[in-house]
Amino acid sequence: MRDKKIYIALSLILSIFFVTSPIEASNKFRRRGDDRLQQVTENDVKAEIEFGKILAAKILGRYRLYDNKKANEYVNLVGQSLVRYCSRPELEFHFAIIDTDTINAFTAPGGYIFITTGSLKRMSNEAELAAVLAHEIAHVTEKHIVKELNIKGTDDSAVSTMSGMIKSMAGGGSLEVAFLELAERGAKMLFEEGIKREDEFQADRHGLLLASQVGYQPSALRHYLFVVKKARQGEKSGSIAKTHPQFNERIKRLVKIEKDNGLGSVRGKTLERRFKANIKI
Amino acid sequence: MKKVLFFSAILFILPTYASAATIYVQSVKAPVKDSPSFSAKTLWTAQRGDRLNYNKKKGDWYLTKNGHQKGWVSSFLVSDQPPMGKISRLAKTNVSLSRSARRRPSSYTTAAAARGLAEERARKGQTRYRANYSDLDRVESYSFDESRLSKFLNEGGLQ
Repeated sequence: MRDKKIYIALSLILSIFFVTSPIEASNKFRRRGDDRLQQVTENDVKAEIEFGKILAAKILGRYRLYDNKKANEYVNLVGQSLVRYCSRPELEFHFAIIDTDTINAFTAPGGYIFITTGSLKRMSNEAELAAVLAHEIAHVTEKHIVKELNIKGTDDSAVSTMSGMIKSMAGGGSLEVAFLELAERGAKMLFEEGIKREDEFQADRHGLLLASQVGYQPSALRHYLFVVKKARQGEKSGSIAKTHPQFNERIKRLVKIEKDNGLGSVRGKTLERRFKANIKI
Repeated sequence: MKKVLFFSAILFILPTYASAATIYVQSVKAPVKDSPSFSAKTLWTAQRGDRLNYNKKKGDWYLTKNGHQKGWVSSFLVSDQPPMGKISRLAKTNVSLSRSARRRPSSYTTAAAARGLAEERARKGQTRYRANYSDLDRVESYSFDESRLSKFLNEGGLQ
């Protein structure tokens, strides 16, 4: 009888081990992958900022800066409120409004974030503004463009895109040309192709959690996407519909994230009056 | 024999589950909750740079420990590396392009020079997508002190 109990106990323990150890091994593998991506040096961050500055200048080359100090300062205050809780304290974030009816927002690596007057016109409160800015901040914190273009501080890396481009240039290839070419690719990604679908979903997830952490109404991004979905017909090039995934899918996923994180019952701030006092477009 | 086998199995398995990984708080502060939910009660608040150990992850939450008290921290407020200090952009260098262009770049200095020159060319409009650096300078000039941000947060009833 005693032997039988020992056998049962032993079988149970070994079963649990063999069932869970592949999961643990898989998790460890993922962590190693994440670690590899997160092993960033100060030079990598400096390169990211430098690259982001060129890309930000290209955004401002395409769209005019909205000339309203009060509105721009307000957008900065909302943005900086979110930045306090973001996972990249080493970056100096900059926020600005660009003057176009296009409904969209743009992000350049290093912390440059732009929102259009077309987007602001369709927002009804500060929580919606915070939700969109938080989504854009997530593109920076998760380094979506940096990873896509493989921006690094040193250029002799075997895996660096920049290094590969230089090698492929027959004679006369230079680092300057390679860096400029990458900035062109980044601009094309922002203006024409959009960021990867999965990266957009990840930005929605992180953005929702970030804005909620600061105290904004969790459902704000969902509500804003619903409004934009209705308004998007008749949109011209550069619109959010062109560079972002389908709204229905995004809204569906946001509902699940809210539920999974206990946000369904949270009543955050919307601050409609403050938004309307500062944004008069 | 059976006992030896039994205790060997336990000794073999335990280290796998007893190990805890380290994470660091990146946000200005990170509330630690009594369950993995934003609506849960905050047990204590960790500060930027605080080192936490965790041995379980559930969705977007890590189960961490402070003395004898366990609590959940949101994964997007932490990272596996300590937070870096503020990093500013590169200082420009005077390395000439003609000297650095035809050799394989092997140092950060040449890379920095190349980036500076790339910006210079972008400023001159020698690219497909035009750049506007004067407006970018204005964007970078928007700033306000911490007290104004605190006032803004307090007035809005935000964290």
